[in-house]
Amino acid sequence: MAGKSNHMERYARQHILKGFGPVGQQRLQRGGVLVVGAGGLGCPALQYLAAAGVGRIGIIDDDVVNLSNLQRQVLYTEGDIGKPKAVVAREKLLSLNSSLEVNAYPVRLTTANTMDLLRGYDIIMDGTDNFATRYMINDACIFLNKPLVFGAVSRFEGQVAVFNAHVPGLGYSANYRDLFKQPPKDGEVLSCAEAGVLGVLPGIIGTLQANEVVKLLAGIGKPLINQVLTYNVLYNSFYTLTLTGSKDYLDEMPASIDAFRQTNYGWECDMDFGNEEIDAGAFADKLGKPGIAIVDVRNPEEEPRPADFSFLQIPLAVIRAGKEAIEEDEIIFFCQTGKRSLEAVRIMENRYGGAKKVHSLRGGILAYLDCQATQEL
Amino acid sequence: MTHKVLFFGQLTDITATSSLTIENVDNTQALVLMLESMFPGLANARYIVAVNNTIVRDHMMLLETATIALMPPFSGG
Repeated sequence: MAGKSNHMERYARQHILKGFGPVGQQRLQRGGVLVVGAGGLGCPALQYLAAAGVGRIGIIDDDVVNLSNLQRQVLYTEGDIGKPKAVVAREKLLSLNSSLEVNAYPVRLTTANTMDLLRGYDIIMDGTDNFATRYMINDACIFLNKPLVFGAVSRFEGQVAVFNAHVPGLGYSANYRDLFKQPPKDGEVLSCAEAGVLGVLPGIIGTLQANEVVKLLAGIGKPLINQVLTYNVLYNSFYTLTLTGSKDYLDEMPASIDAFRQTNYGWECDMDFGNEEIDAGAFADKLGKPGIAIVDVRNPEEEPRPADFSFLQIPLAVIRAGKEAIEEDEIIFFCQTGKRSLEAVRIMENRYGGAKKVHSLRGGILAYLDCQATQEL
Repeated sequence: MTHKVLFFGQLTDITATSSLTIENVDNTQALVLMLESMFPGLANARYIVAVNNTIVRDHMMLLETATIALMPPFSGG
């Protein structure tokens, strides 16, 4: 069925297309794209990528189809409700184009599996719905030197961009951290579930993303490299932003693949912990106030030891074991860099619910001392 | 000198408009301060500033009539 003549017939409209032709078609056929998130953006993109003949398509999504998805996630039908999206999407794509290799990964993308999953594809397409995963994918693409086709929506507007593309002679183009260095805190930006989205919008933005993937694979046109396109469905207005790559983002992302695997992107976005982290300035303001316990959760031998305020020493292991006894109703934990103190916050929250107000010093004692030193200059 | 300011995404929840004009401002820092005094919610919002379609990392002078955009991150998919 998938013989050459059949192939010619299927892609006839692209074969006769000037500037694309059999060469462009062959490049699509040899290309591999991994679509992360088979939701509002992923569904239309996947459909067009499979229809156009992208030879190898991966689909990552750990979610199942819900009734509320059908308003915009056009690969799914009522009969698919409750089934894994990645598996259903794969079946739909293969019924559309059986000559393709389509891989379904019904798993959650984590720092542990991201590198292995992304490595096997030429282009990564971001169709996710949260900042934690977006930053994780962005950073992974930088480590793996993969181009990332970004898309995101909010109510009536959407953004599309190509990040980290290799430009001969110029190196790698701007990435998401060149646009927004750090993820927003939870609640700073509403998700679709909270803010709503018009169903047609992800259809348009996802299709624009598929178009960028096709252009990158076929080597045609001018992809959105060092640009972010914003589209407003209410007014049919396009706005293009130009950005340049810098190395500033390197301060914000993990220093190595090993560090990447240790990074908790959920924590970075405060996704699970509300606004439990406080910065060095807010920490300094709390010092010396009555009713607040300041607690060092490092081991007793760890340096540096702050000298300008008093604090309790309760190593994390003691808190884990539930053997700490802190009377105050407000507690600020600190450690070296802010990781262990965040874990202490989580433990206390699980134990006391809202009965105690618990914070973690973001960036740890090192950030506090840095901040003090800067103020003295 | 009159500048046009565009607001994107959920910033329009704060400003209740997607565009406005501002006069007598000659740098982006003063512009942002003026906008924050008009719309206090902007002080806590996350966005990047672009002048004439180009992202501005540090503050810059606005010597000629410009279109300034305030663009927040979008997360939905």
